[in-house]
Amino acid sequence: MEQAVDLSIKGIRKSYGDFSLKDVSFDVPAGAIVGLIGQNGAGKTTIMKAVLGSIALDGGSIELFGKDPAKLDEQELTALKARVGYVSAVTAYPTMMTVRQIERFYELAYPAFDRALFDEMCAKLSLDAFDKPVKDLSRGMGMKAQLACVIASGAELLVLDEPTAGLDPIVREEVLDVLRAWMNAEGRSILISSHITSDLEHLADYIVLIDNGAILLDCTADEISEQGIASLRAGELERLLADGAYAPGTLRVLKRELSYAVLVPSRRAFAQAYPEFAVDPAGIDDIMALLVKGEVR
Amino acid sequence: MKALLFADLSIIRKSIGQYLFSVVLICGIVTFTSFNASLDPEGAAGVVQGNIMSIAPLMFAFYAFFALFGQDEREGWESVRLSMPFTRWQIVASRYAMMLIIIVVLLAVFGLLAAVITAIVTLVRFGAVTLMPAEAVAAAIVLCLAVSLIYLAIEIPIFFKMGFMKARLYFTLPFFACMLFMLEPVQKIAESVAGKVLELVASMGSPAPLAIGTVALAFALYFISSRISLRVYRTREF
Repeated sequence: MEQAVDLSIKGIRKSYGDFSLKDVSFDVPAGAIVGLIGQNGAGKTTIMKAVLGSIALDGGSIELFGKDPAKLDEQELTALKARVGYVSAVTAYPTMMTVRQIERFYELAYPAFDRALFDEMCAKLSLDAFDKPVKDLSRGMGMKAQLACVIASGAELLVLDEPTAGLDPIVREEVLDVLRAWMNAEGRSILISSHITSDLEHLADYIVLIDNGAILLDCTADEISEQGIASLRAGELERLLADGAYAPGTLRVLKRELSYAVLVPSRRAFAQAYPEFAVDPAGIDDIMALLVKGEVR
Repeated sequence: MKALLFADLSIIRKSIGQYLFSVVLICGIVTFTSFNASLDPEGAAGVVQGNIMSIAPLMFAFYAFFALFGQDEREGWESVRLSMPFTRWQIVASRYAMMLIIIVVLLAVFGLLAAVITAIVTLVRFGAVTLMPAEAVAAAIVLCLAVSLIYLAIEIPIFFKMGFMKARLYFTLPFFACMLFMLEPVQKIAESVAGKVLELVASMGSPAPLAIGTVALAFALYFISSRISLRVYRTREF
């Protein structure tokens, strides 16, 4: 049976002056967390804006829960948007409003808002500054307030823009725990962008790497963990390339100070074929560096 | 829509202290002026009541306008709001509704406040309470309502189109347009129009139809303005 898809991005294009999204396509399956990574200005926020309907597309389409928001009437559109919760990188609520007022605002906006769940989330996240205006909240408190609101809103898809950026390690872990716990229920999904790739390594089921407006990598977390980084000297690299075990154009090579880092698709297969070469598991950071800056060999 | 009105109201409520300071200042200056000018009781009532009931609501309404549109552009609030279960039309309509509510409530509140202050001032200065005639009060309310609605009908689409930071530079545009009345040819045209309006009022025997017509025209412009705002806001990107 085909897996249900909560968010489907199909060949979207958008140009802004010297930047453009180039036929970006990927899915966020129901029950999955998709991590969106890339350098600053790579196009992550543009994709999120496109998903949220903040920008008009030059081409392509977006489907939320199987429906194209552009083709819905107003009532259908608001019902569809009620199934999506967005968490901004900064606490983007009116600075004068208190946490309690923000909660009330969500309660009025989302028909499925669960006040008891909001209170439960606040207790879990040690968020008790209900009467504090947003402008007086710390970065961590603001993020907790946003999370408590979107989770209590009854959303089925969360779109999270850098939710852990600027948080101390303890709060970061609390946020990630909340997201993991939220995913325990069926049919929920998350699209999350982050610079802190270690967070995604422990959280995401799929990784989408975007660079300069184009997707460089779209794979499962298992496929990521299967890849390896071989550290080779110049002679070893030449030998590897001359062997012909890897077809031309399938390896990514990045010159480091004393060696070459080579991204190999399967570190086990590589270790068996070349037991004399050092190969380590590839982290998302390594893969990103090699795909973005590496040379195709 | 209820949620959007609630958010707007919460934003305004937090700044009421700042607005009240300006209102107290206006009331103080007007009262002080009336005590120092050589006025009869009717004149003093006109100065105090007329000024407070017209200047204070307009100033307060413009404060609220700036607070609301200013907040839209802060910290990405606009993007968050658009991600929520609201349509762009609801966002536009709620802002128009909120500004209308603010103006109507302010006219009522400051109408009462102006009457109370005028009663006290005239009682202290002249030994008897004197207030503006009811027709004059009604005319002032109609004029304030019409002016503020027409002013907002011009400004709101500009703010929805450009956003607060750019549009605020154009906020005084209608005000400067009014300064054209200082030019002699414009004055002549205005005098001619005013003369015809007075003739019309005289022929009707009552200014009420004119007042109703003015308010109706202001509401019509306000409604047309909301449709223009939706048009420009529908295609705006954040």
